[in-house]
Amino acid sequence: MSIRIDVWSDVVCPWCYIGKRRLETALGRFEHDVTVTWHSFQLDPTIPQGSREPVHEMLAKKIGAPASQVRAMTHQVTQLAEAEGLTYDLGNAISVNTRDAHRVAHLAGEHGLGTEMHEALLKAHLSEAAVVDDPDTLVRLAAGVGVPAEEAADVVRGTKYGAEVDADIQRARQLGISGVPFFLINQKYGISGAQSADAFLGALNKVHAES
Amino acid sequence: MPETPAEQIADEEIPAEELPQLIILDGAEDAPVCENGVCL
Repeated sequence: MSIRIDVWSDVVCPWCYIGKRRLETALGRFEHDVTVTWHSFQLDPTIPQGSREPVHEMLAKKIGAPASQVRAMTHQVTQLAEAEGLTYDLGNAISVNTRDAHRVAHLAGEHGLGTEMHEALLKAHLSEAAVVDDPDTLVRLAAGVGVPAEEAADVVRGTKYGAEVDADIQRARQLGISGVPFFLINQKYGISGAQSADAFLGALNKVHAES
Repeated sequence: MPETPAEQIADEEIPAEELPQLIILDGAEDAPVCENGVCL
């Protein structure tokens, strides 16, 4: 029996990219079929559409600390990302409203490319300091994973898949999810945070044994 | 009579008994998350 994993994540979430890699490591060691579906979550939906701000400055305001202190604090997550083979460039990353990115991710999901699109968006924001509310960037990223560019452009220009984004976020709220990444296995078991690959594997084995 | 907020109606669509049981993993409390826009 195939195992289903639903993941809630935001495309600007450093722990989500690390969690994604750790889950993939676990899946590589798991012998049974697993289907992974990515769902939208916005860490800060209050960011005005079109507003752009360096991540360090945004974080400094949120926690009331100087940017220099924020840089030191983000150093830790950058190092942990390196351990997973990821290169973060948080010093140049730009904070944006991620709703449009999630709408495009839903389009990609309809093409069976949801995982690839989520990967592309995480990499673009966290490793390449790309501005992931920029329409041209979103179309380029979508086309890069195989989504027809004209379809992506149509979504970016309009409001399509907004309802799907809202539904994902509402489901997260119903599940009591306040932070991401969050992993739901077989619609029944919840796992919060960027767990170790061993922890993911242990959970998968436990669920498989019970199924 | 005040209107019932749309959010409240929607949240009631899925009965509580259908919400997932959570597995508590060893060390799960240490697993980092991003929350409220902060990921430190």
